[in-house]
Amino acid sequence: MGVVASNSLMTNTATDTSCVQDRLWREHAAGLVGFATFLVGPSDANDLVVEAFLRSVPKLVSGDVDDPTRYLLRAVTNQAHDLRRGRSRRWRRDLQAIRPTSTPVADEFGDVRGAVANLSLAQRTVVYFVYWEDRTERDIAMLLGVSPSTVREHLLRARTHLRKALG
Amino acid sequence: MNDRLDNAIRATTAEIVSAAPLPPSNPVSAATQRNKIPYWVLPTLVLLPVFGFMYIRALTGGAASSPGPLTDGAALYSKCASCHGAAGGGVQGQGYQFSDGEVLATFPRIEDHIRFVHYGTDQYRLAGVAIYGDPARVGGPHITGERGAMPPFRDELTTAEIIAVVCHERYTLSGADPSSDDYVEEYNTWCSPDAVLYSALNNGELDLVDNQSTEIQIDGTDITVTPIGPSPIDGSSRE
Repeated sequence: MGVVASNSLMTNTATDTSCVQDRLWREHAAGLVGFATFLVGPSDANDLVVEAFLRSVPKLVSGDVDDPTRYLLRAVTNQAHDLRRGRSRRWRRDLQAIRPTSTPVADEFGDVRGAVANLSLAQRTVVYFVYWEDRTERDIAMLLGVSPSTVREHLLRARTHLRKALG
Repeated sequence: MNDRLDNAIRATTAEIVSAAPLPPSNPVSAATQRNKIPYWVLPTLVLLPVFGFMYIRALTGGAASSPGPLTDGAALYSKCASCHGAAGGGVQGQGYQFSDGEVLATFPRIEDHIRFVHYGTDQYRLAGVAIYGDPARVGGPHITGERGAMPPFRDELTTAEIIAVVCHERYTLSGADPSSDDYVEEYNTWCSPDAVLYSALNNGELDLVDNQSTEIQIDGTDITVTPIGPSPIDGSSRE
């Protein structure tokens, strides 16, 4: 009887863990893939997110993480750092291959898209959070675990670089 | 300028993010639900060495038949089969039966058997030998020419080939037991795959017709034989 109860408990625990994983994936997968696409390009985005998620799952299901969103975004960022070495040329090629689906912004704003590809990973991360997620510098600093001044500096340099591309 | 820059960055960011692929299904669930080892892997691994063994055997072929007088004699026996039967059972009114010990009874000593095949009945008749083989044969001796003429094979076969056919008739068709006391020495001297006498004849190193010596030395081994000799002689009984 004790064995049955123990097995039942193990089954329930396994089911709970599986539910947590499914819920986390459903809530975050699309956003993480968009973020990863901005960091490393569409070709590597899915693989990068899957790898980051698999690495994060044990910590996430253990209940030790206060903010799963922040944890997963940092995991994707770290994974992008690992991946990006030697991939910058591919990323530029991927980025040039992207064609606007609704509004032809490329012609209007010059080669900003190409200039984004030349940003550092840290600069690109800040640009994503500022211009896509509309986060504040303080919020981004907390998310990335850096000081607000660091965020401000990355953003400033990114804008300077992109302004040159805008002409 | 700043508004234009912000608009450009915002539009470009949106453009890049909109190119994001659809996320795959939950990788953890997919990994846990997947059959990690396909069901066919285990039997395949078990059968792989067997297949490898069969493959190698198929490439190398089966073990070749050991060469020797019995193998050679079986191929040459077709020359005798028309008169004595394919299995040595004899043919009514023509050749005598070999099987079931009959030829062993006629020729207890292999040298008499070899000599008779070498010369045939005509030479025995000309030499005045009325009884070829064992004169004390159980069931009666064989009389020269009683069943018509037995052709000589000395011009058609070499001495080694005659020995091979004789070995086939004695051991394969008539049933002499190579391990028995009666035949072990004869087998080892004349009919085994390692018989040095047969090898020496095959290589042309020995002549049993013109060489009348009964003591022969081959590769340091002394062998006592009765040569075929220049003409037929009386048959003999087993000592």
